[in-house]
Amino acid sequence: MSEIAKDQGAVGDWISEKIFMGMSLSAYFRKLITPFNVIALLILAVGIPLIVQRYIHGLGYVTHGSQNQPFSLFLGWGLFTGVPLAATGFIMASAVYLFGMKEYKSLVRPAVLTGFVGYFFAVTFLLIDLGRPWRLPYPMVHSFGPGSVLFLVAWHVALYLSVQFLEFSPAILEWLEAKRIRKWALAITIGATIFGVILSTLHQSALGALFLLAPGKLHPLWYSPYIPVLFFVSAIYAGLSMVIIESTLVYRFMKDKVDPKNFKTIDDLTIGLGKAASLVLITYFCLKLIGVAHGNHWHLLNSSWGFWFLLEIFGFVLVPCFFFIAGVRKRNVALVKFTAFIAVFGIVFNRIMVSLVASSWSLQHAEFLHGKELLVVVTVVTVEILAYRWIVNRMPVHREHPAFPGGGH
Amino acid sequence: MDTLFDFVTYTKGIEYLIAVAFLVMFIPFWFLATSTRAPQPERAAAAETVGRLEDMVGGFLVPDSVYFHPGHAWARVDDHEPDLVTVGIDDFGQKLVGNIEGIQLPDIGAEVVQGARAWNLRLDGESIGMLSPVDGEVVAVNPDLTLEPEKINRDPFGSGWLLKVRPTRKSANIKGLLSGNFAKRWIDEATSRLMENSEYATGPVLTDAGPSRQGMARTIDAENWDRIVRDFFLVTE
Repeated sequence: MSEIAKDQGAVGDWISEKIFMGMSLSAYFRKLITPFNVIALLILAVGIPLIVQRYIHGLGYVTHGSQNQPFSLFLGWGLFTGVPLAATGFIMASAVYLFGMKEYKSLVRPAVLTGFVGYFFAVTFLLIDLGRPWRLPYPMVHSFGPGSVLFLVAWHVALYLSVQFLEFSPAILEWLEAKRIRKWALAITIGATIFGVILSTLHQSALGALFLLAPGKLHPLWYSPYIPVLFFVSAIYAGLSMVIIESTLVYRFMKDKVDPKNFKTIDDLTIGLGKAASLVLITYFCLKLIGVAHGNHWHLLNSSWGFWFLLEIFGFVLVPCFFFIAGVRKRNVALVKFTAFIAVFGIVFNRIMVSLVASSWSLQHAEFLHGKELLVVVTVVTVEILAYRWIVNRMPVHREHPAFPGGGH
Repeated sequence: MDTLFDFVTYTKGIEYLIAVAFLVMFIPFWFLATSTRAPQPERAAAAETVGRLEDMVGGFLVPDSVYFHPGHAWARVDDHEPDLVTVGIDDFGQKLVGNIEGIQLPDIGAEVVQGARAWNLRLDGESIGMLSPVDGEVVAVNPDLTLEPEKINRDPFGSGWLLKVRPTRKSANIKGLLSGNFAKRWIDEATSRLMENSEYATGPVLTDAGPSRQGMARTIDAENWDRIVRDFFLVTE
């Protein structure tokens, strides 16, 4: 009897330490009452019933998506934007483990976590958007459909999600203090990184390749046979910019979860990331021009669609490119951080244009924004932020676990 | 295809021209992105010291603004901190020992005495002491050296400083130190001693360009390098 009580006590201690961060239940809930959490709760209170209703009443209840407009905001944001913004993991892991840029090691785990959470919620958006979500595993087990680019996307996203879980698993295992399994998890890091780079290269571009199937559907200025390359290259600077944004926010709002010695180096690392992003941005800008030249679509630039296109490639590609350079040359870290936000906004703009707006250019009537759909998107993003924060609060992401100095990752 | 322009556009020549222009432009762009206009503080300090070629003796920096202790420590009074003395290891000293793996500095508040052991360098698993160039109380230690002791090698008179000391006998201490031409002659002699003294020169290691290379002591005698270092640092153990 007393042994059972002891076991229950041990379980209670474990839950208190691991889940409630060493606080009592009442102290933990008191700590949760913050303005951010109250707003998040309100969003969830409105959004979760909408998600439930989407499954009861069907997709038409929450979205304007249709046969003519196949990619609604769910996919325009959740998949086409979410996946490049989650390129953080493969960018930083390949920089550190494959190219030997060890000074960026402290950013690998946060980047892999951002990537993992990003992909996980991209799949969540898919589950919301698919007419028959229970058929999500079909390309893996039932009817493969290898003739479709979606076959590639489905397999890659599923595999890469698993790979990112493996890449992040040392942090989870350190949190659980599972020393032996952690050793195995660390041993596969390089293999997982290489596999991750291969998968990312292929599926970031495969998302673009989806548009090659319907050449007339997408406006000629955005359509180009090079679109897979454009998607891949832009994912690189999206990933770099997201690492800057993620570290900026965590170092500002979750200071106590960051190893103090990382504060010394973060400015130099931010400058380095900005430098890399500027080189990718200029490459992307020239590729976009080559895309226009390839189709000889120069005359289309002088139209309302052309103005949007010019705004995108100048305002959200060339301007951030030179802002990054100015920030790097003057060692103005604030400017580099600010520019990362512009660059990410540019990615959102591009992916929404490609998947939603510019791919409806030939339709007589198109509506993109459904109020309920927007609320569902905001709800899922809120859950994403809460999940990320839950993990960073508990697991050694921006700091080392005291029992595992060096982190190994 | 009446004109050259028509020809170029018809053959999608513009596409290739953009690609070629990009490749050509990427080179200056690369330099633009990778060279910083506003130099980092430590680079600026290094540039300032390195820029003064007259401060070089046999490949070693001997800045005029610095006072040298014969144990290869330096002391400097900066204009913006006239009450304090900044202390470090000189260029000859850091090149003699090479890669510094760690340094054990005195605590803030500790007293240091001119000519007495004040800090220890960790080199190849060995701890080698060095002598303080001044008397006084330690008011600051370089916080960066815990994580980046290599700063001493990179910029011995700049970001690689060790201590800031509030001196108790500043003028008397300074009188006992070497500066200007005396310091240059002393470094010159130390170099000659290192190069010519048969006691050390057991191998063909010193080049025509002089001995100013990292880890000179180890290059001269891989086994007894620590004895050479202690001889020059004027410490017995």
